[in-house]
Amino acid sequence: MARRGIRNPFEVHLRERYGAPAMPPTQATPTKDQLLTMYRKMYLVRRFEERAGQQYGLRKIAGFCHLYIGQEAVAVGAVEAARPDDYMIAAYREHGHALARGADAGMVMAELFGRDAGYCKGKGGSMHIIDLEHYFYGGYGIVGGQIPLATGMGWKSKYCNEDRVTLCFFGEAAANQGSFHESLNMASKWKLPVIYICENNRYGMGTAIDRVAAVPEIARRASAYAMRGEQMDGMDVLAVYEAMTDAIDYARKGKGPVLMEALTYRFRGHSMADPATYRQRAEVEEEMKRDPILKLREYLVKKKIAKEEDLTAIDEEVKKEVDEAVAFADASPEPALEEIWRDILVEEGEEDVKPRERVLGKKVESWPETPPPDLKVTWEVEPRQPAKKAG
Amino acid sequence: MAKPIQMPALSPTMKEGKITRWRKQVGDRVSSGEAVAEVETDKSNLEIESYEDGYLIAIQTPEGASAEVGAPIAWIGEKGEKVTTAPPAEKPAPAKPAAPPAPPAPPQAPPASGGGGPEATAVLMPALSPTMVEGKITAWLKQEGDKVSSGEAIAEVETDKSNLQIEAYDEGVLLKIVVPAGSTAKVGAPIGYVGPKGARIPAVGGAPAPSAAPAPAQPAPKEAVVPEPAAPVPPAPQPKPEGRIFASPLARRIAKERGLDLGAIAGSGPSGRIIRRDVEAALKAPVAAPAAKALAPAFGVPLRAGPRPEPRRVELSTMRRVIAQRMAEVKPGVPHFYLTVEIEMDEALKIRDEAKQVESKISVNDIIVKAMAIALRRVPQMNVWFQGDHVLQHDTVDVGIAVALEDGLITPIIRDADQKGLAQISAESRELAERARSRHLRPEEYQGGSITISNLGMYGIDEFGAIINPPQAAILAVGQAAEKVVVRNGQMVIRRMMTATLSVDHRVIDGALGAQYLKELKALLEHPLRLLF
Amino acid sequence: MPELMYREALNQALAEEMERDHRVFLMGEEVGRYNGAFKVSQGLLDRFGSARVVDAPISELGFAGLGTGAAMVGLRPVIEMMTWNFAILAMDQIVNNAAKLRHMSGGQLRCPIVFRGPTGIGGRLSSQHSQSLEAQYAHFPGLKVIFPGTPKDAKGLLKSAIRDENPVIMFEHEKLYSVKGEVPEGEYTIPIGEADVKREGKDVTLITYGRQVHFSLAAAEELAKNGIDAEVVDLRTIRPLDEERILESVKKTNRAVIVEEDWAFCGVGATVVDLIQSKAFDYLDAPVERVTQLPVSISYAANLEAAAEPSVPRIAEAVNKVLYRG
Repeated sequence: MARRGIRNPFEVHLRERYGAPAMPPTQATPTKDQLLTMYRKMYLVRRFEERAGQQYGLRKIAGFCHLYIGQEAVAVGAVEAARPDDYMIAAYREHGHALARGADAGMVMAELFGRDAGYCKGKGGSMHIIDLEHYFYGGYGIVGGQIPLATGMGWKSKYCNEDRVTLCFFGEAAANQGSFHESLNMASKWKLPVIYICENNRYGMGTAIDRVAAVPEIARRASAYAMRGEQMDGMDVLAVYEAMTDAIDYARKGKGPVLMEALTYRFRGHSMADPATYRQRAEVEEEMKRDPILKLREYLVKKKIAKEEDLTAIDEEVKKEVDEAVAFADASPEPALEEIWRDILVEEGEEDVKPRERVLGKKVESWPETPPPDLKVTWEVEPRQPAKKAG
Repeated sequence: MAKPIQMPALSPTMKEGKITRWRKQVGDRVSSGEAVAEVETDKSNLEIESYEDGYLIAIQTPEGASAEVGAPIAWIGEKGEKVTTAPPAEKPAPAKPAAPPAPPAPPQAPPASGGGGPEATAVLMPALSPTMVEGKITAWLKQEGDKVSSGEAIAEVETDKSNLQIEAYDEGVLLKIVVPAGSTAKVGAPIGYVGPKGARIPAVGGAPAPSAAPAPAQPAPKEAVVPEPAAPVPPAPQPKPEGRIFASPLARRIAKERGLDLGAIAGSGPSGRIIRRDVEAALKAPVAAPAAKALAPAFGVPLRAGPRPEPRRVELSTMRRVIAQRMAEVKPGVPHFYLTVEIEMDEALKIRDEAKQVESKISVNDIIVKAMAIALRRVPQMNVWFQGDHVLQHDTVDVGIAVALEDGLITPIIRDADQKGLAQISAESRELAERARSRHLRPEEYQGGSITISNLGMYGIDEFGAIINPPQAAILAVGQAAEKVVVRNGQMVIRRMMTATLSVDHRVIDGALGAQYLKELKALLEHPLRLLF
Repeated sequence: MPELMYREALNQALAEEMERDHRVFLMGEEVGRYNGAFKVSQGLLDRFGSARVVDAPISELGFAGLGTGAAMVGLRPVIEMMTWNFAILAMDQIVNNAAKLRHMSGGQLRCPIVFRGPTGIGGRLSSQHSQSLEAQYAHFPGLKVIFPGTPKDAKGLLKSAIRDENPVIMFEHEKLYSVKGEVPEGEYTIPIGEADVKREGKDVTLITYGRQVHFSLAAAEELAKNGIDAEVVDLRTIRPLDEERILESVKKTNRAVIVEEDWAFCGVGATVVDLIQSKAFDYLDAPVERVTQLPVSISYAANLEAAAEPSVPRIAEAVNKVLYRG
């Protein structure tokens, strides 16, 4: 597939595996519908982020705003390879992950606007998009802070004996946090069904990863935890889809966690206020030739899966959807002032908020279930052994 | 239809950006997401991108020019399209023109005194009550040339409510008095200047002139400076020493409730702090009766010979001016209606007499205050303020008492009167009335309130109607309790009857409700045992 | 009522709640095979198995975050910190995640989790192991903070904490684990947010919590010999503070002394004083006094350690001051 001939900054072979032995590749082939869905979602993320950037410039969005432009293939490929009820969690560059999961674009935009119609009532903003209806758990602003949470979500799946996996996204710079090390150690020791997906866009804010990491190939670190680690081409949605299908299958079968490293690139600065002077223009222009959306588009046309006009029609639909999202966000009022006191603590008997029900009045069908108090815990972390009586 | 590319806000602090380079030229094709120009902000150099597909048809901000955030810097449209919604492209005026030449400096005010030294600081007429718009200086406690230190009282002022002192907030010398004693100044206007010796005083022309011409050496009103009997008159003007009394909050509260003057109590705590045990000891000591105020002589004005004198012009006191203005506003502004009832007071008067037996001074007025408060608790719909578009419903019952002053009246308030005993109401109302007459009430002691009583019974008035004291919605006018022949069970008997008239704000309270309140009040006063329930 | 040690009462609470709700699991260092560094989890591994009594690696940040993640998908973890000093490593997960999940998600997520473990001046452990950190956690909206002083309160409050829908931080004083006290038989809980009057009195209010409850009660007995009748209010919960109970007592006695083991600066007592001055000002006959740990790091040397702690004589001295005696 299109993986060949791509310049690899780390000079390792793509889909190189580290640590625990891999399963034989499944060679997943997406259907036409899936391919068009991937195209649509990637373009939706692209268009949404461009508009978000514009709205930031118009001061409709404030604070930090980290755009996902360039990295779309990672979230979309991974989401398409997963089951809709698999848990998913990400860092603060997460608008794209929420949209790829199926979040309502207008409500995501409203959250960026800090409005009542946002997923989190405008309380979270750009860095904390959370959409439980689509099993998307956010949205975290401390680098690496979500990695232990994902480990706990995987713990729960094991504890409740369910075949769900957790997809945990983070950047390459987060791999230098203690939380990364502590999590992978526990996840591997306890064989938790978590796929840790490192989106290696080569720069942690302005610092190139090889300037601050002794081992900049993040996937290689998996071997330190005796777990499976693997690189994939994050600029190729099909490569991501294929590699993630394998990894998810491995984790779902109870063989343990996987560390996936997607080699990708952000076309924009770290945040809206970042001029990205630490990168050469030539480098950025070179990378933009690998635009994952154009790549899929060329592939679809060349393989006669879709005609140019079909794809242009999708583009137009998406543009309209995003324009409507902006209008929707702009029309929403700011949250009521009483909201300042809400959601600090769960009050006695208080129900959880279902955002689409609250904002759009739509009945929400799917919602993560809470295990019952009388659940049977059949798992043993380690063999039973009589505890020594204290002396 | 052409669409603008606007100067984006690229950092939270960015106000404008300077175009350093146009990457695209007029006529070039641009696609959404493509960089069209480079911009220098307050933080860094960034790219501006287009959010539309099309052709760059006009550049509005050329290279080197700046534009404010949000201003159009270029236009995107169809090939060959002309911009119609903006100034033509060939007039590339930067959105932010160079600053116009500074206007000529205003002529320098000539220094009023001294040369180029430091500038003196104005002492401004403070707002001492929410309704105060101006104040009259009754006395200067410092003279020009006197040293003043921060926190020191320098003048006394008569406001619409009370007499208060003005403090200096700066150290230095009182350089100039702008508003002499007897004159009035608006709130915020300079009344004098303080500064280091020789400091420059700003041109007086810049400061508002005192609103009234200085009255010819008018002495301060009598109640402001209470002369000690038979004491030699001290050399003018002597600042009254304002020694702060140290007392624990609890001691202060007990003293206030029991009408004790903390100044008369010696403290036994650290640094002489008055604490609870000191107040309790003082309460056990006998209370000195206040000296009865001598009545002004009713006779003895000699008949004048010669021509009858013309009426004299008397300047309004601040209080009188405010009362005049308020009454003129209230009466037409608040639609009043009146309800009158006769109340048999024999039982209530028995309470007063019983109190006398135990040497407790409880007046009829105190009993009525208590009954009004309880009645208000029972008819809470009366306890409201009309606020234009809404009504404020109170949960506390605070009863105002109209106190006549020499030149006006004021209504200090008994807070939570429904919860206080008669002895406490009595002590508080006496203490408040006393301080009202010496004009030492603090604003929080006369503002707000649920309802007011105006009692002219002691002047022999049988009945009258009072003007409501906004924002309250009702006032009770009470006449004397006089013996009258009434019919009870078919027999003519003599009873002490009192007529009470309730004035009500019809915007918020209707007749039936007012009547219900009066009925409750009448029942309470005629069967005062019910005050205990 | 049977007498139990503080640690036994906690053990009962854990066992009862794990029996009652299978979503509850205990994770921490040495909680399983070792039976707990302070023997709070004695016998629980045998009873509930290794998935519910989990020996964690020494990764405070990691397993605090794991617990938080498990709580947000429906489990009810009890995360034991070997001591709260080590939990400073986990503060990011507790403060940035557990305390904020409800808020950041606009009401979608909840985080029913208990972080618990020993704290305070444990005895000859020097500065890193002797800290009182309750004020730090009490600072954050989104957390509840409890600090029981007796076995009965420890059991009842831990049970309430496990059943609470919010993150609860529970401090257990190291020197209380072996203290005995009466514990009611059978099922009971003690609500979070309720202070308890441990001794009634009319002359002065001692407001305290944790181990200092015992110091305060001892001081009250000493003072009684001099005819001073002290009331001892045990906060039990630090956040939310039981304002009503505190004010009621201070309005009665008109004087307050706050006894706490943490440092005075921005300490728990500072907030209590603030409450009193703003809501009971007119009832005070003397400034509120505080007896706290001295503003120093705790030394290993026995005399230096003892001198830094609150003590019965220091409490008595403060009481005399607010009573204007001596």
